Amino acid sequence: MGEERRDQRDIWGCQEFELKLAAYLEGEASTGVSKHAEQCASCGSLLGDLQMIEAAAKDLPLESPSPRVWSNIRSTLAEEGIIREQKSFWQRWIPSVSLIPRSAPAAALAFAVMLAVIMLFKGDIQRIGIQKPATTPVVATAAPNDLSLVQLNLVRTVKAMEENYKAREATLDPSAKQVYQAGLTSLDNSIQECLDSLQKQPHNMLVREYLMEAYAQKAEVLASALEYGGR
Amino acid sequence: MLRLKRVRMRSGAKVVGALLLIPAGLLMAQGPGQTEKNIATTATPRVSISNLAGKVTVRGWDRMQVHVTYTVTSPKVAVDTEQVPIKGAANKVHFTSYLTDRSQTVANPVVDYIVDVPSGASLEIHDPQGKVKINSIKGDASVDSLGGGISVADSSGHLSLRSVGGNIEIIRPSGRVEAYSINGNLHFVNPTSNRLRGTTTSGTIVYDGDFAPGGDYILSDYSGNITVLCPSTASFELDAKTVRGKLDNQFRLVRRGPAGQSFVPPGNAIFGTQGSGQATLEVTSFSGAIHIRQQ
Repeated sequence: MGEERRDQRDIWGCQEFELKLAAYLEGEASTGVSKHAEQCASCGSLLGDLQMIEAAAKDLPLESPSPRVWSNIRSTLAEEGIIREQKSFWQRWIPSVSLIPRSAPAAALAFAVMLAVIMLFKGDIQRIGIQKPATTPVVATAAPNDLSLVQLNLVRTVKAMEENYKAREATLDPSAKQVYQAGLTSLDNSIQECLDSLQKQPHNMLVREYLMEAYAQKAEVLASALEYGGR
Repeated sequence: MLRLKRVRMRSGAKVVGALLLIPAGLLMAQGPGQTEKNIATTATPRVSISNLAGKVTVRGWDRMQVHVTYTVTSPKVAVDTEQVPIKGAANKVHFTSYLTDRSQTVANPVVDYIVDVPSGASLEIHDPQGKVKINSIKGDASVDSLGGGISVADSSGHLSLRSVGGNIEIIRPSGRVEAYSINGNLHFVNPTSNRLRGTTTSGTIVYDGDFAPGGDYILSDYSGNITVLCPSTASFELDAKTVRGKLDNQFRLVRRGPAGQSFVPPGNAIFGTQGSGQATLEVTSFSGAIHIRQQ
């Protein structure tokens, strides 16, 4: 009977120990915990292990997982259907530099590239008399007002992407910024030149092709820059 | 009890974390210095290098092994090496340069790679700010850069090369070639490829070589000049046009009426056949000059 009572007391002591262990490990003073750990081999071993792990964990370097780790996690989540991700043209172009969440620029890019692809392969799908875009054009001369819906959407997308780029431009490292700026300047010059030509020759399909190609290329460069922005 | 479980889980997670970090640490090299590794591979492994900045040199050799030497110059940059499968001959090898602390901007995150790979390897290289040089590779190669130049010699696989601001030079390719740039120059030297496409916006394009029978060649520029230098014996069908640039041609072509000629001023388009017209050559520019010349 006395033996049984001692066992019950020991069991109660282990339960009490477990209840107070967390607080004890977090720095709360508790003589009961340390006293029980001295008396009970099992709980003493547990406490010793946890204290050792805690000490070792404090010394561990704070590692930042490599981009590949994030990439693998993202791929796994995508494979399991937990997230959906669409691999964009620019993820193939410069994915290594993407160290920030890229959903917004990627979506914008996917949209722009989709438009470009449709435009390039389907030609002028539906030419309609459309009012001028709500947003102001990216360059001094307005885009032609007889663009197809697809082409007009591409122009608007480029404009939106350019606004995002301007907002993030400061985060780019100077050398990357210089390269992007040079590329965008070239493309802006191309666009401006095409727009000027189209004012003189509104029905020149070759110039129109160059214009839309320049917009598509600008979308690609802007998407790359937006992905690059967070490094 | 719930709290204890939480503590035990938290502590357990730390143990698992510690155990995971040990083997992972073996694959990572941090801080400045040079590292050399040998990895046994199949004859045709896929090798990828994802770099932040710095030179990447890849050479094909006759061993079934990847030998890499990389030099890290910043204490805030590390390289992750991954091979698949982990044991035995790898069919995939990945090298990834990354910032150890992404909350800070690193001014010069340079890692220089020199990699020897089996000649049958295929490559995927991302190096935004550094020169990429590839020699003697039979597999496909995809290279993306931002401001760095790209140079590929003696390749026989499909080449897909892109650089926003860097020049692209391709010497003696025999597989399909695609080269894109915005401000960079494109230079093709003695290609034997039968599919080749080069596009740039403000850079120049120089094609120096003959055309493969049945080959299809597209060179497109906006404001840069395009020069095609080919032997007098070359056999091709030419479709060349420039909206505002000049066009000169040294070949005596059998002229045909080009499609869309009305969109360019008289004299700014040529559509004709040289020799038996075995290859197809399309050259277009908006304001750059086009020169079709004999070597």
